[in-house]
Amino acid sequence: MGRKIINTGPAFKRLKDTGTHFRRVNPAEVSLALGAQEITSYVDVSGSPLSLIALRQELARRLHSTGGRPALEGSRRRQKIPLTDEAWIKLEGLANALAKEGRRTTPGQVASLLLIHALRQVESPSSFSDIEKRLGVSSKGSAKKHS
Amino acid sequence: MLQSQRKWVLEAAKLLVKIGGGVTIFPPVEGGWMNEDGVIVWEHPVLLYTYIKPDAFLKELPRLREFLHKMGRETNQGEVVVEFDRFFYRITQFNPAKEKRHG
Repeated sequence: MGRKIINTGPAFKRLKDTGTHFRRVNPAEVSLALGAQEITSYVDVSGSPLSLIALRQELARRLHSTGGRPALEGSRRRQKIPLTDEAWIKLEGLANALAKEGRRTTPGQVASLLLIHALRQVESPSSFSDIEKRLGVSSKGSAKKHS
Repeated sequence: MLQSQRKWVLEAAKLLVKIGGGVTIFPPVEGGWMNEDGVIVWEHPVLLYTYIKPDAFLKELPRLREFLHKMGRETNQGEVVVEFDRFFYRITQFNPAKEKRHG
């Protein structure tokens, strides 16, 4: 069995792009202008928000009903995840916006989909020290209390 | 293979130059798709791309639409796809040709 390789090389400073930033064109705007019938999101790019259109299409693809409330395809776990009030209000807003477009969903289903997309963008760390730093977890495994 | 593929490639290239200031055209590649009878239709697609200039892109959207629908209609495509900023835009219903005005 192979041994795990630990990267002990120097950590380089993150480069910051200070060039001109252009506004992102809304995919719905492009779709309407081109007379397209369907939009498919094919690449998740780190830091890029999922548009409402792509979210709606992904939900349409994953939500299916076996007679009761539609469930997200592939979702088996029910986990409690801490959220701020602000985040929950935002999720409710997204669910309402999607409902206006004819796609009834719950804030929990929207959260599930957004979390799945966000996780895809997290690179596998060569060491876990970066994640430990972000979470404030010591190498001994207990969370540090912040005052 | 599309009849007069070269004509469409050049027309697309001219439009992309307007949108991005330049265009890159790949040599024909090999590709295929399965038709309704389960037979693979082999083709030599040509891929083109440009890095858009946002203002020019937005300004040329109507012309881009016209070109895509015209190509889909006149070459009897089942679908025309545009790839932009991580999204595929699929056009399966083509606008009718504009009537020419005389006089």
